[in-house]
Amino acid sequence: MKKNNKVFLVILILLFLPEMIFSQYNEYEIKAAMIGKFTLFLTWPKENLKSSHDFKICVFGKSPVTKYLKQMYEKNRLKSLPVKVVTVFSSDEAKKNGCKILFIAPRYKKNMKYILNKTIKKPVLIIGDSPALLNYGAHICFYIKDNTIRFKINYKKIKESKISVSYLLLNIGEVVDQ
Amino acid sequence: MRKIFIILITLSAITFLSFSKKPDTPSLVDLSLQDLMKLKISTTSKIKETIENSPASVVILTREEIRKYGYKSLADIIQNIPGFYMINDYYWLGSENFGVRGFFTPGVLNDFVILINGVNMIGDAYSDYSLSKINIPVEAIDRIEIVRGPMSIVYGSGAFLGAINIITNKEKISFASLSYGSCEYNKIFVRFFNGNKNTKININFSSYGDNGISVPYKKFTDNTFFLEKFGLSENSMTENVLKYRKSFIMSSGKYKNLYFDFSYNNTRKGVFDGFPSPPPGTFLNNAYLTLHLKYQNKIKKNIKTVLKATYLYDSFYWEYSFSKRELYATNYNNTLSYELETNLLYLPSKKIEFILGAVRHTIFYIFKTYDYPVFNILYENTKFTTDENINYTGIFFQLNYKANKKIFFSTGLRAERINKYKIKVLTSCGSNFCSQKKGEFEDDKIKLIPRLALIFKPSDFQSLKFIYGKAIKQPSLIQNVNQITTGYPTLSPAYIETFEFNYLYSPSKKALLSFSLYLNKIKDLIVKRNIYDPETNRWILHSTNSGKMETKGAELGIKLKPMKNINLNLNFTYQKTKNIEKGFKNIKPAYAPEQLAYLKADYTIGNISLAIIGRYVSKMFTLWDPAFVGDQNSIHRGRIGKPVSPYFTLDFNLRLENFPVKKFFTNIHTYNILNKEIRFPTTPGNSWAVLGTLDYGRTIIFSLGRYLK
Repeated sequence: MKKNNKVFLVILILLFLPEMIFSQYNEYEIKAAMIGKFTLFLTWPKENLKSSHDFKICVFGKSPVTKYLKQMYEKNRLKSLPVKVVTVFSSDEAKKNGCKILFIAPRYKKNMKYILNKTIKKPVLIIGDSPALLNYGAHICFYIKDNTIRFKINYKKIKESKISVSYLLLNIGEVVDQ
Repeated sequence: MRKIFIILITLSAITFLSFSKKPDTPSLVDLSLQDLMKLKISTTSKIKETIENSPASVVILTREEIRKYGYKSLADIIQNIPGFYMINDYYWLGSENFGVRGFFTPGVLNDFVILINGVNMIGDAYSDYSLSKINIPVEAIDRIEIVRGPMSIVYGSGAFLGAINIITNKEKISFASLSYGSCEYNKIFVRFFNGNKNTKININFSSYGDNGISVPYKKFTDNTFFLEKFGLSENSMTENVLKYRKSFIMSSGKYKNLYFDFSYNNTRKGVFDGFPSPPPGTFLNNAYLTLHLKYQNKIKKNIKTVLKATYLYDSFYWEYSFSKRELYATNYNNTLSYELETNLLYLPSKKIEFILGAVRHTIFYIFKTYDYPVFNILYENTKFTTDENINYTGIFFQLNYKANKKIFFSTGLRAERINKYKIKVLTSCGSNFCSQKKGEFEDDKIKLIPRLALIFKPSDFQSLKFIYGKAIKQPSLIQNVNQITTGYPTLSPAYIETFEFNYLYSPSKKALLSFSLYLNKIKDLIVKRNIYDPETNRWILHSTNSGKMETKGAELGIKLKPMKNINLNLNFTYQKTKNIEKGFKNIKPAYAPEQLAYLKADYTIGNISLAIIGRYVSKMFTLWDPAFVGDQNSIHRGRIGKPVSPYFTLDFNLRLENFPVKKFFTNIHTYNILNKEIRFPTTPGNSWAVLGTLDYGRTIIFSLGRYLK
């Protein structure tokens, strides 16, 4: 076998060594993980947490993020409460379920008005899956830059919901005032 | 080489099986928020879904991959697509031409269609997609979708072996770059994007070229006597006679539901137009312009319509050089055409998608004139024209039905027709008018082109596809003109019928296995043959619909992530082509390598990415011509040239983002790093080059660019 072919073969064999950590994730896996991380930087009113049996993360409509939220958190606790992931299909359902976090996909932006009416001044963190939802009253919105997930925070709106935000989260995300 | 094949396949299988476990998702929970924000999201899931659900054999390349691998041209991208192989004969209009799945047509590139942003980049005179007119720089490409297999149902005649759709107007980036390299390669590229959801504009501009390969003519031919006729010796070099310069500007825009695309290409390229070129060289000059408007509208929630209009201008001429001043030749071509298309997309339910389309392509101006007294009086001062428009009309429908999560079914039918048209060929000899020939293209029957595909997904990570399709290739205008000039009837379309089975297996994000079996049956292929005429006792060269071929093949593709930040792609093709035309059954087919292999590997760490591309093409024979006498004792008697040896080549790319400073990028690309002699088999157009033609040797290109936004 010629020398060049041998060298080529050795390089290929080395590349076939057993796996190590791989790096590319599905977009919604990362978003699901970030949703849980947000809670470390947010404080819900004490009375609101005391009166709750669980920490509900609600997803408005069908979304790929639901599966990952369930995998990551349903056997864990957030804010010392057991986590439950629920899919809701109306603003009434969202209110009835006592969601602590409500995740909304951009295709449901027309429902935002009704959702906000039901959750206004209530400690429900509204996370939008597109920066456009900030215009509709969402508190935090994801966006993609350079193939990585980032987020924007509407600080004014979060304050109105009575959820406290750590300055650390404000430093990590992009703050917008609307 | 066969040993390497076997070892690679065995290793691939072993490693593939070791990746068959799904990863544990909760590990992300252990990362900090800042670390989560650094993770790159995978685009392959969308691409994988597109490939799995598409009722065709699809390969997709993103801007990110094109950037990582540093492809130097569109030809370089195409020749590295599994199943494709390049033959560059430096001929006339064809030059870079490609075989697909064991089938190759010498002459112009017309076995698959090429679209840019959905605009069909056809050359009307030869029904071709020559890269000399589609000289899109790789920096402009956001995404390229290659569909292998007959696609006439959607794209009409010409999509014989597939379709390539190049997207240039999706990514919201602006940058400029300069490149310089071997053979005086130089390029300037600028891209500008601006816009929002409702309004956007995108401009790509480039000017680039190089001096071509510089090798002695003895590398092309051992016939020194023939070279001397052109004032050349075996040691004369091809320096500067194959140089080229290409300029390209493309603009795309959107305003609400209205889209526009404009492109202008200008090429000046050194060629061998049937003979060697003494300095300064023989040059093809091509100007190609397209203007395209599209309007799409959602009439109802589940009904969408699209209206498209395209205007095309194609002009090319050659400047010839001969060693003797009294010899001369001219060749000038000009066509103008427009295309109107309308599509209706109807979704009566979540399970059903119905597409109805109609297209009309009209050539309303054709002018061709050529004067080759040095060759044959038949081609002396000749021009042809038509008195009426030439219309291609097609109607098609496609029905996609998703029975359930596991079964997807697609079927369609296209009806296509060309109107009858008359051609006038006028030949004059000096100041006297010699002859006028008239002919008519009469085959205006409706051609039906069916398609059927079934996709079965037994589980989330497996997919089986069964595809049946037909395609046609209508004779080009010039092919029919040549028939009339030589006194033969006009031609009919060629047909291809394809059966394909494809299996996709993707047990985890780290592994994807693809396996395909295919059978292509081609009949009524238009071939240029020397046919013996017993009446005149002469061999006469003309075209006929007598070609008949069959290709069978198997393709294995493996995608792996063996280590952090490493991607690996391997593809192997084994194919057998048979020429079943009468009198050719025992002749090994021409331009049909039996084995092809492709390797792509990249490693990214921070702002640095390293990539290698490997390509193997097995032995190829040249055309068998029964009239070719050659050396009576040679085993290659009848072959117009010598067979070419298999070749293996390796390219390397290094890309550095934010280097030398932030917002800049640097790229170093080495083509054919092993400096192998890559030889292409000679084609009928340049049969003087009996030893074949050569590709570039080791070529290094250095690029520096800056992001503007």
